[in-house]
Amino acid sequence: MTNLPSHTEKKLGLLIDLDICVGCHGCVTSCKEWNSTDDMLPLSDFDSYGDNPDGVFLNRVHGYEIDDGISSQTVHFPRSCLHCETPECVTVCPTGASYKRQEDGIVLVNPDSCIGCKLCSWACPYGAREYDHKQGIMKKCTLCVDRIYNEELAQEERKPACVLACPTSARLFGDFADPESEVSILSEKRGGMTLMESLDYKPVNRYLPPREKQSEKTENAINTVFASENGYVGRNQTQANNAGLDSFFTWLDDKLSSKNI
Amino acid sequence: MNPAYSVILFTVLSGAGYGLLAILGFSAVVGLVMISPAINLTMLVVALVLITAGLISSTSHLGRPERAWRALSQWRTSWLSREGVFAVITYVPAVLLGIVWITEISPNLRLFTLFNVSSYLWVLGGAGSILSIATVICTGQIYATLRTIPAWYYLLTTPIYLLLSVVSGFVIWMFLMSLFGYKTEPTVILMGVFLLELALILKWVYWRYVDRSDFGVTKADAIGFASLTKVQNLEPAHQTKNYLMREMGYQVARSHSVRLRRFASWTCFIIPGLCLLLMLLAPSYQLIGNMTAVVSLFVGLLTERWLFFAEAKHVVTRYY
Repeated sequence: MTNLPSHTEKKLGLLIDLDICVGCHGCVTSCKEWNSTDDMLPLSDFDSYGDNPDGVFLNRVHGYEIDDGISSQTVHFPRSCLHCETPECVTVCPTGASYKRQEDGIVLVNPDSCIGCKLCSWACPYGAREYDHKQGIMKKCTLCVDRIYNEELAQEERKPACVLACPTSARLFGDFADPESEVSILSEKRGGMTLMESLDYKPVNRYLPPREKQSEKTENAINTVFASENGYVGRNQTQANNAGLDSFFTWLDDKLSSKNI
Repeated sequence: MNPAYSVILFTVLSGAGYGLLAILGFSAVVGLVMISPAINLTMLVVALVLITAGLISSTSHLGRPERAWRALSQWRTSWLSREGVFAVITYVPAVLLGIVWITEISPNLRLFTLFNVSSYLWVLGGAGSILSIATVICTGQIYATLRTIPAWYYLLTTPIYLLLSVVSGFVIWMFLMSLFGYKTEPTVILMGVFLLELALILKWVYWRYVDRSDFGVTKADAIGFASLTKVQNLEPAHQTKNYLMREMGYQVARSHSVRLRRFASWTCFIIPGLCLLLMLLAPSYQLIGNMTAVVSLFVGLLTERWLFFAEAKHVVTRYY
């Protein structure tokens, strides 16, 4: 049914930490591996070893340089289905092959009833759905629904393949509806970001922003200490009234916060 | 967006077919063209051939055409499903209209007289008309409700689809009338000219809108950062084009689109309009004028529809 559930008991999703993602594409390949084997229909590939390799992936990692006017840095950005609360990819589906599960909020495609009209991929702003030319149907992230409830697997393995594969633990899996869950607490604490919020698809997945760069902070603190020890602040009184006070607070802040690290 | 030929053909051909059927049904209601059942029947067949050819073309766009029947199930939420449902239901009054006219041509066919629907001609005509229009509105709404594509998420998208469908049906209807040797009334011709040029004006307004339309979403919004953060591509997620880039990342050069818009304006609206005016001034050239109008209109409609897709940008391109 393409009618959306009015609420879901759980909101399972991923919390991706952009601060520690190193862009290794490990999640991309482990996703491809898991979803191409086992009971699932494989994610088709074409010309894998030729000049124009092409294939279906449910997860892609983009590399960006971001500049907020103060500093610039590299961000590795993994992009996959965000399991939105109001996903229009589901409501536009003419066959009911696309659906959002009431119990856990996972958005899935039934491969047996999808007609491959591709309208869902048009409706998704995040590029989460890719068309499988070999099978003539749409593919998307299942949040490894065949892993997370799989009783054949050990408890610690009942997580999405991408989460298990991540060498830096930049990907966390959990229930965003539960305020006590690890993902909810971390997202709350570090200002978890939503993608294209203005479109109002209400994505469940969150992204943690990069932390303020430690090197810059330390550098400032060292300079401040060095300057005050040499009486630099005193000598240049006019500038120092404000700048000195600022750098003092930076130093103090750093001293106080560094104990917690 | 990738201009898929199957969908372009579907929207143009079926659009014209539904337009013709809507006019035919309307004329049955008001009793305008109860000229001869044979002509009505021919027009009905032309409309159904156009509709069916378009629908068949649209299924070739599917990955699993054999499952197309499943698309009739989700009419509660999906405009595509509603379009399918209306497209199928429209055949019912259309076929019954055909039965009425066949019965009128050969009253000896007892089988058909069993239905005795002749007295309900206006009901059948009205139903055919309304259902045709409903189908085209659903087609427009498929595009007009996609928030991911600002060029389509627009007030005029559906009205333009509807108007172009009616206009193309109207021009074909006039052509078939003159083919059967009926002289078209000047008011009818002027009505056609009016509809054509109204469509041209709406299309110009639409193109102006497309030029100014914006995602309202920056590259920074796409990856969750504050809107004004500068984001540049550093490492591509993949080295060759993927499905998203082929389907959603189709780009048409600005200079090409300007030229094609001009071409579409002439072939789709201005030339057919001039042809109709020529018919008014020189009735002896009615048939040739009308035929030129039909040919020019279809060339123009195909161009217009190609542009409708090719010029539409999808918000997912923000990631690339």
